[in-house]
Amino acid sequence: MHGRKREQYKALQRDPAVVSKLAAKAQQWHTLVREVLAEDSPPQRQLALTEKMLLVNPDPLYLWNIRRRVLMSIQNEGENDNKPTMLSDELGFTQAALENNPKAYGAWLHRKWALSSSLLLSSSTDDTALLENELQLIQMFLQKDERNFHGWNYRRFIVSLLLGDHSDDTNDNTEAFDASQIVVTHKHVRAPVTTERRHEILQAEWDFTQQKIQENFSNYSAIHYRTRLFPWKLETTPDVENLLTEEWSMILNAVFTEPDDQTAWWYAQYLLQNGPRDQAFYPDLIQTQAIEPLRELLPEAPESKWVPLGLYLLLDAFPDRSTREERQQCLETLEIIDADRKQRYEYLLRKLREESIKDV
Amino acid sequence: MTTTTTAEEQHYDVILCGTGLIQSIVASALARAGRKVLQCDAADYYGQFDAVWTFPYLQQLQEKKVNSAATTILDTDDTPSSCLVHLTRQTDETCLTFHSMHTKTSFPMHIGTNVVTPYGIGCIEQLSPQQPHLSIALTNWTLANGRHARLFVASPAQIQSQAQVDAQTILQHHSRSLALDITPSLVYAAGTAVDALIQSGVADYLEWKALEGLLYLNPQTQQLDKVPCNKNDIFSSPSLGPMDKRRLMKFLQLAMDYGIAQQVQEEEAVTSLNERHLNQGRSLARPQNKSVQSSELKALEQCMEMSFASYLEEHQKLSPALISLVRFALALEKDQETSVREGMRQLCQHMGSLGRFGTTAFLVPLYGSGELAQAFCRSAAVYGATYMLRQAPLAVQTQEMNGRVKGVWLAPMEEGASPQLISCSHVVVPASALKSSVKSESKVLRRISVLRGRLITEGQQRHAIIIPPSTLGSSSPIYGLLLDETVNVVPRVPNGCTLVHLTTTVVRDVDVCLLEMALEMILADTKNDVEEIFHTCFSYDLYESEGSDPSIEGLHQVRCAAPGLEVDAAIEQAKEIFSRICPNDEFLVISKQLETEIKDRLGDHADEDDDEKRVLESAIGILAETESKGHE
Repeated sequence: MHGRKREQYKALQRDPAVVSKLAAKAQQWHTLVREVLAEDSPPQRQLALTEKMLLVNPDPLYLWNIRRRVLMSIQNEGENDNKPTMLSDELGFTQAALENNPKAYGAWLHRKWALSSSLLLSSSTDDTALLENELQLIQMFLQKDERNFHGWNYRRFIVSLLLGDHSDDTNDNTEAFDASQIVVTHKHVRAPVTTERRHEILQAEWDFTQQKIQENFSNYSAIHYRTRLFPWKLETTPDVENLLTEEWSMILNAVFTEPDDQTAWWYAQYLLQNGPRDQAFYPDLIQTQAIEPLRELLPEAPESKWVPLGLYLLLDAFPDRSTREERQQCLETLEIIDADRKQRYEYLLRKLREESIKDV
Repeated sequence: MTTTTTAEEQHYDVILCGTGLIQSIVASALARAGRKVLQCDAADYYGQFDAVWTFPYLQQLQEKKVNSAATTILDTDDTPSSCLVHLTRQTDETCLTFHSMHTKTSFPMHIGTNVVTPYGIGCIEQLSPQQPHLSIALTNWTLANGRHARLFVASPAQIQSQAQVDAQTILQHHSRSLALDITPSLVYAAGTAVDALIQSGVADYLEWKALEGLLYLNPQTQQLDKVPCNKNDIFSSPSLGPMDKRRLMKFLQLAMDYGIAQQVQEEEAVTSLNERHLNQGRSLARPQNKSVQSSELKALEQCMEMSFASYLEEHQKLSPALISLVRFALALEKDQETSVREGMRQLCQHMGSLGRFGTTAFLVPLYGSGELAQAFCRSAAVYGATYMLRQAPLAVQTQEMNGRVKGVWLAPMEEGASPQLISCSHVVVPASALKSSVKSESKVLRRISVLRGRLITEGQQRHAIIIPPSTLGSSSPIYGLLLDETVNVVPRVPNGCTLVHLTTTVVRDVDVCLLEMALEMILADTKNDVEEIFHTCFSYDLYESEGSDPSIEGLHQVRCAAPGLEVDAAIEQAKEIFSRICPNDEFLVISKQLETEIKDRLGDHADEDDDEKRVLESAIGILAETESKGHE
């Protein structure tokens, strides 16, 4: 609870009226738990009760498990005509549960299960439309809380379903887009999409991260997603130089706005390591797009440790004799303004000295 | 009216002349403090120059049909004239100068004009001047060959242009839905006005929506840019260079620190510093690893009395374009010479209101800002204030020359009757009504335009536009306000309707073209199909704030300041007048009795909103159901 003082909250908890209300609710909850866990509880009633209970509190995993077990047993008994309604019921109800608590692991997991299990998905279902609808929904969730990592994970999961990626089956992690390996006994298999469609989907995701970063560049989740997409983008973009120029200009805009925001610096490090280092234009691009502007920023932001550090890292990525003195100055400045990490800078200075001795 | 007879006999603590916003706030505060209050107005509606005009009223005004009652000449034999302070009549006809008022009626048709035919909408393809012959492509009819059906018309009588139909729909069929504010204003989402509204319960009479965007007519590009108010605006603003971004961000962070330091100083106890950071949210707050630079704050304290503009240039090293942005769009500076103290105060007020509701720092009242004055009047009436409309105050009577206030002469209700003196201890009058007030060199110039179509098509249209002086060479910034049906000031029509308010302060000669040029610039920025179908342009005088005060005990003047974007200053002035009349009472408090009543009522509602309880009970209901079935 942001913006609410702990004492206020605690005082509220001591209010007899509140206490009695909560106690009544707890009493009801315990009755319901007993009923649901009872061995002879009829499946339909278990479904109805778990739905109500999970709406109130979507956290307890055992309730989700009971619900899945009941759903599986009903499905195994035969009649498959009601698959579509069952799926839309599950989706509607998990959405309501998530609106209550958008960070409930169980609810997100249940939704993933519902969408990947062939128990609920029949071959006749138009699952592309369904999945695209899911993307809309996540967009809404990320509008409310842009840093909800459940939402970002789920988005990658949906995209991997859309693409028809089954890399988690083959254990080939290089292609795995989504790392959340949920265990589904009857997996619904989608055919991989055409290359063209694949590019379309991924481009939409790339644009989505762009939009989220424009809204708030401190959004680490969005930047992280962008780095997941970056290898694909690098491979498929015809004008790599232009792509890199835009990415670096975005970083520089963020750095100039707030030099102490680590998100942009983290992405800079990523691009430095994963950019097309083998291509001739890259060192020049970094020189003009990043190093030179940072040199200008240095006197403007004397209190910021990230400017000299970033400059040092950029210069160090393409070590050159001519920049040695500048790198040394950066480290010496850092020793003063970031004394907590003095030893590290000492070490880097020693390395720099060794480098110069080698040259001689 | 029964009140008239009682009013004559009774003695009032305070009589307020006019129902402008400030008087109405004072009336509400006084009534709450238990004073006996009479508020009167020469017009037959509330709000005076803070009122909302209806379109039919404006038309009447245009045709001079508004029945201005014959000015009553106060002629009292038994009162020496030295004991009378005459008041001028404060109505639209006497105080406002109308420069133009125009309703667009002719909408010529060309090739490409969208038209409405009896067979549906279409677009003119051919138009021959010799014989009245039109060829129209009906856009909502598509033939098998993929083309639109064609309509050939011999006489264009049945054909009307879409623009004309739109204009008729707005100005004739739905003209009553137009709410045209004389003085449109916004409220800061956090600050004196909002606090006063909430604390007094007057907020219950009003509805609000957040302002969607604050725009700035860039003097360089002549385009509308979003005003960068927070970190991400600055980051994503295409019109700021990297170094501009750094310097602006640095300055705004300093302003935030300054604002917090000031508040802490005022409150002394640091009760909710943490919360305050959270409220201002992610808009400007530093990353957690960054500390406040107290040396910069100290440097700022040294410069408090210098001019804001030169401080920004010399100390913050901002470029001229940035200085203009900070002064006029962020600190909402109204005139040319503002000190650093005042500039920082205004800037902090703006910054402190960000992140409360929506994306800007402002709230827009529904049904026009004229509702504000009315809401305060209504709340004053709840606490027992008496109201008299169509009652022009004629003069204030004093006990002796420049002595204490004795009463107010009111014009008679019926023709032929004689004016009546109502006794009171205090009078609140607008400075402009006093004959002794000195007109200042500035005038307020206003233009109200009704447009068909939408200027801004993305999302809802509730935008403020600031045009800095350098763009059009005006002496003060021009404030624009774009509003649509979402705040119920224009009718809900198929192709949209936009209300544009433009306000500025001009020195000496009124340059009527100024606001027309401003509107043209705003319209030039959009590619949408919008067109002005009605406008009125008027001006009124401002009075010297330090005018010759008659120094009569009990006479309180309401100063009319140059209007800006927000009304927070009105609350400040009302508070000042109130504390002069009632130095020991609290301003705009809600009565304890009312408060407990409201709390009781809300307490009952609280249970209804408890979703958890409802769901749990329904689950228990399922149990009971199946059990009873089992017993059967």
